[in-house]
Amino acid sequence: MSTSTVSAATPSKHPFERRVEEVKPSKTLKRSPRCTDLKNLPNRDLNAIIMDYFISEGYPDAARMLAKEANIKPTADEHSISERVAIRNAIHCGDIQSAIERINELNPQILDSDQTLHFSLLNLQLIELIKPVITSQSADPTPALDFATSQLAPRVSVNREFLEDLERTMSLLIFPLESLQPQLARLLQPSLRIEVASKVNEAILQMQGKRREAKIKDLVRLRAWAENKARESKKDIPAKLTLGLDGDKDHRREHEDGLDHDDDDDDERHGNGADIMVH
Amino acid sequence: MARAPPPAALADLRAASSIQSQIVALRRLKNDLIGHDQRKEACIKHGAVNLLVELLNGALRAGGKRRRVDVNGGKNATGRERRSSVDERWSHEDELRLQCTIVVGSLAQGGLAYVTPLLAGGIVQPLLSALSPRETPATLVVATLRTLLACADAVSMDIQFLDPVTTTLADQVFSKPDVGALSEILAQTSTTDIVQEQQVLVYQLIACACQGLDHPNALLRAGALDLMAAQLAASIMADGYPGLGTDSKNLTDLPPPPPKSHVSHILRAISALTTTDYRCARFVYNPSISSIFPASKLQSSTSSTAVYGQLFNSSLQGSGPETLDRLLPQLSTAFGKPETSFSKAFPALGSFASSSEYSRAASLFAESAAAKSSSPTRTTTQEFGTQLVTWLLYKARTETGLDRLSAVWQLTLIIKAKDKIFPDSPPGESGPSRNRDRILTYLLVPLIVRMIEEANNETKNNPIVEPQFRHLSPLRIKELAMSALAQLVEDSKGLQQAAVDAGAIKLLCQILKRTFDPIPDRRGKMWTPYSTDTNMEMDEETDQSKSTQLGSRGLSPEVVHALRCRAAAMEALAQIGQVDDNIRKTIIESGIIACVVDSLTAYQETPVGTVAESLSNADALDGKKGNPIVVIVAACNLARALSRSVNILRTSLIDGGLAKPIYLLLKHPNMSVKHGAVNVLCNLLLSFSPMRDELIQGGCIKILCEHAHSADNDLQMMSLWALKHLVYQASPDTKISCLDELGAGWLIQTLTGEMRDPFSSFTRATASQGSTPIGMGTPNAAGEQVDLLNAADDPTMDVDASSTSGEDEPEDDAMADSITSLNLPRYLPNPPAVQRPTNLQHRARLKLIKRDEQNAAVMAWKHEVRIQEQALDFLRNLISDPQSEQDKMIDHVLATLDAQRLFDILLSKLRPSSPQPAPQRDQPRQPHGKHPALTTPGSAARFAASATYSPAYSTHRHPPPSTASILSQITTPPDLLVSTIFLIVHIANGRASQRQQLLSQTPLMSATLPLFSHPDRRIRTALCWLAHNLVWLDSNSTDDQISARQRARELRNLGVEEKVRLALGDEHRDVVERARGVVDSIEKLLGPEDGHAGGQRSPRDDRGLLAGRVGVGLGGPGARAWER
Repeated sequence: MSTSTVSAATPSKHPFERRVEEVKPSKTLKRSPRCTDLKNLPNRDLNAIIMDYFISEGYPDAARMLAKEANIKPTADEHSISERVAIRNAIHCGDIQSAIERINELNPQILDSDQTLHFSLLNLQLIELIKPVITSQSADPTPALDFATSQLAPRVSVNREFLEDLERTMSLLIFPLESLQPQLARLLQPSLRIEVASKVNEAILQMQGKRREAKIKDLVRLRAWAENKARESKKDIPAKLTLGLDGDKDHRREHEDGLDHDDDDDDERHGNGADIMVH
Repeated sequence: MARAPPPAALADLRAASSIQSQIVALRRLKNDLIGHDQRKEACIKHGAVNLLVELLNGALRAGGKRRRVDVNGGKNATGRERRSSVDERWSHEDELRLQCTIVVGSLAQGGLAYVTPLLAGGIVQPLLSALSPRETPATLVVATLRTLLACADAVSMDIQFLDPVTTTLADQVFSKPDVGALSEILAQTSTTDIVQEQQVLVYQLIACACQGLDHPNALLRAGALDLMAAQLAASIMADGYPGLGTDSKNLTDLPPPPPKSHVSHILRAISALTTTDYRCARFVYNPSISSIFPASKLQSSTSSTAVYGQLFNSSLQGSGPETLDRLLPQLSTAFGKPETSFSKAFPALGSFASSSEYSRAASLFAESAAAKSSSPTRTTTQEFGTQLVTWLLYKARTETGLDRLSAVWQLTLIIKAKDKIFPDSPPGESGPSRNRDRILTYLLVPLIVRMIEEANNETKNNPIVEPQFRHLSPLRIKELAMSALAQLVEDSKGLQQAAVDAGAIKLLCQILKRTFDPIPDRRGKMWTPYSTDTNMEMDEETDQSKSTQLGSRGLSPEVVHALRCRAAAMEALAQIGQVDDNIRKTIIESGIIACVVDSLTAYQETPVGTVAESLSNADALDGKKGNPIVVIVAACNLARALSRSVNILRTSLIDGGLAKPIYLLLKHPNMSVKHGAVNVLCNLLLSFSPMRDELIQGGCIKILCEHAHSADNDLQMMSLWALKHLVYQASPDTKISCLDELGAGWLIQTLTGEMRDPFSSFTRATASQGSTPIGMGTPNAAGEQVDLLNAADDPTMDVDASSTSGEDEPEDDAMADSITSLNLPRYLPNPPAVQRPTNLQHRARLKLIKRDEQNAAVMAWKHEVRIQEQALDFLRNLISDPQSEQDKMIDHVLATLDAQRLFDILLSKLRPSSPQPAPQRDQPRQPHGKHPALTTPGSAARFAASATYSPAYSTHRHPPPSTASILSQITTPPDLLVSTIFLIVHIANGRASQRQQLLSQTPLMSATLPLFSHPDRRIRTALCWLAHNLVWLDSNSTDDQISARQRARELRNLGVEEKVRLALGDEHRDVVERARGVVDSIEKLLGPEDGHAGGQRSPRDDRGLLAGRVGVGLGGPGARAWER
């Protein structure tokens, strides 16, 4: 696990990189005035960040293993992680109804107070109801229509964005599956589930008074921001700065996409990884 | 189309026979309801509320049989163990209650419209029974707290007070015995997630719903404040700041530190409780807080300033003790020419209720310290007496958003109360207040202004906020930061200027104007597939009780925000423009007068509950259609502040049409609105106000007199104050009608004030009640005798009686010693050793503050002093005009009030009214030993401005006051003496016969003699004026000369002349000048060349000027109304 965070040293030493090498051991992320054991400091901080990531993103098994390996105390209640995992898995599987019920069980106020999130889930549920209709000719569209009428339609009069979303979803029923526009086709992709699941996860964390996201996401953004700033002010830094994760791909993405898509990609990548780790 | 069917789950729930099937149905109902407002509506209309109440009560009865004691008890229990123990005992009843509670919570999330029927159906009480963590599983406690918070949150959006039922929520939560459950939750020391969630919910609940006086007091009594203070202390300790106290045993008692994210919630909850001086002092002196922030570390010195420099310089060199001050930017202390505006600012303007004993000490220090000023040094926040202030400043400067706001808010509350809490804090070379101001000027005020600005910019771009973030949003920060600014700069000219320099006026005016922009209602009505024909519903509905009808939806959050901003901005502007005319001018030039006048409109009279329904969002923002009470009160305050400027009063305010809305507000049913309106009226009725005639013709005399007769102390006082201004230089007809309307009987009764009469009730009571020293009955306006002694024993007095922290206060007698020792350094110019105050001293100080704030007898006494002062000034203004009718008016007043009775009353004011045993009473004794330190130039006025108890003069000699003994040592406050004497002066200003009549009141004249040596210069001056008027010669006719000579002789016989001659050596020129005039006159009358007395010195003019003082005095006596 620690492999993912070790930066790869490049052979051609740019002055900047030499400086990086110099400061590396003392790269502390947490100001902890009472820390006496300086030797273990970087490792401990890195472990803490990774642990934080596992907990926020909901990988209880991995968190347990890391805790064992690195000899640190898990900072969160395992129970609370597994609740979130169950909800996430339900959404990933398309079982939205059970996800909603689980969310209500966990904290009934989440969906009551966040109408946008609730609408996203209901919309996803509607898509799941529509899917069988458009894939097989024989399926009855009535449940989907009823659901749209009773659950989604009342809300769209309140919020214009909801209206657009619902219209888009309903148009799935109209257009043939083969010639869908990209924005409609996107609704049928698993990525939508992952996106919603991630939002739900953030909402739950926020309601529990925790950070919405793993700290490492902030750090990645901070790094990109700093790099951009440095480039803007023409500082002498290497033309290419990699995250050291999987080489050029990361590098390209960071520069071309900026940060908006960072999360999605991250999620996707780690989502895959999660499957390996969880199962 | 069919009507919306009742939710199936509700029907199932009704039909369910077993507890298991009920639970299943409830689960279904829950999932049906969450996030579905339409289903919630249908549910409530089909009687869900009553059903839920029944179910909760039923489960309570069933579950109550087996009490869970100690579910959360074991301190060492880990989360898992506890959960399993709870799960083992988790019964069906618990599950039923949990699901019910969640359903209620979901309904409450729907907002005000849904909470109203819930409250009307009585949902709160059954919910509250599931709060105590000793008896209830933790999960259920969390659910209950969430539900309560959802209700409280919805209720907090009701700024129009649509339905009285909404106020009942907090009353039920914050009262015995349920308030105890909240403390139990806070007292848990477990660090498991679920316990911490409970605690953070309690903090939020307190911050959201705790209001008024009763709620905080109930929480204080239950120990909640101490518990939260300990949590805060633990958190600060865990952060490891430099210079924290470490040696106290209290530190080991600290609870485990709460998570960082809790700190701002804790601070906000504490802020909700520390809204009065006493409770704020309780927080600062809390053992946990005071042990980590030990109060002033001064060891000992002859000059405290020098030590200061030393202490700080050494810490700069790194060898001294580390202090939190290193975390803040260093400012050099103010030195050089004393700027009066600065040094006066803090203590001087406090109303007499607060400033008396405390500021006195501070300024004594200031003067002695200023005399031996040493080298310039740096300010330290120890100026404030506790490093808690430093820590909060540091927090405010380093955090952002809500964390910053909560620190700023708490800081503001402490600073407001600091003159009472830290009277001992050592002064800098220019006095403590000046350096305190300096720190706040540079470190805090600009910060708050910037906070408002930032929040304003953020909200401008993105005004919509998801409800779950409402409390964290820039919207809330904007509202609260403006209120904080208002509170902070109140009574401090320096800080007001600092706010102006930071650009506050422009910003606030801009925000104020923007609140009148229309906001579209984003809460469109949901589309429904069913018919919404209301008639049909009515037909089918069988149960039409309040619990089955949706309440009013209230205003949308955006509109509520706009209205709150309107109120807060005006409040802040009012405080910024409190003193300085130029600032007021700048405010007016920003063009906000129309906003103010519009904000003075009240809602149309309609049956309760229909106000908001009839108001669309756009209407609600249009001030002309009405404003909530908070806005009206703020607008009154701003109008009052602006009307202090004569210039503005005669131009912008009359142009803006201020008089009419204010007049209408006089009849508003809400008391705080009445207060606000009468306060503005005080200024609008001044003799030079162009609105005066309009208001008098409108009939405001009658209304003001009615208000003066009301039972509300403040309203009584303010109305009399307004009437005082009204009669000044008014036509005789107006004066007479005003006097008639007010009623001679009422005036006499007010002036008499049982308490002030040493010969009546007091002695009687002492005689009859034996050991009980006071039998105070004071008539209220309705003429009822209010037994103040018993009132004093009412709940207000036992605030600490059941405190869990062992703070129970000892008996009064036992406190005596500690108060003495506490006071000792305050009244010695050079304290030999300022030691770290002990807990005992803290408690003594708390006692003092509490007495000032809560003791019914003390408050009644203060009120009586204030109202008598106003009544005397009212009479004085009736007879003060130097017109031809003046003597007739004097006759009228004397006849109406019964001259002899009036003179008796005046005599009772002048006499030292100490209810000592009879023998002593007969010997006129010196009322106050003339204390040299108190009469130094410049300081006397400050002291004199505050009524005080005699112990303040001589505390180190007399035993300190206990509640009972305070009243036995009352001497007449200087203000009251001044008013009394000036009334006599004006009676002597009539015709010769009236002077003669006055002189024939030998006891009255004798009573003035000892007052010639009163420490208050104004009193000595007034007495000289009296003598001056008595020997005045109307004309040079022989008759007049004979009678004048006669009067002069009487003055000599009475001993007045001797006293006046002594006054020739007075340290005040004013007194000396007056005395010289009198001596000259007497010599002219009685001396060799009598017969040529007369007006080279044109004393008539002097007199005219003098007469004007009461009424005109915008900066004089009259000004205090606006500074309150």
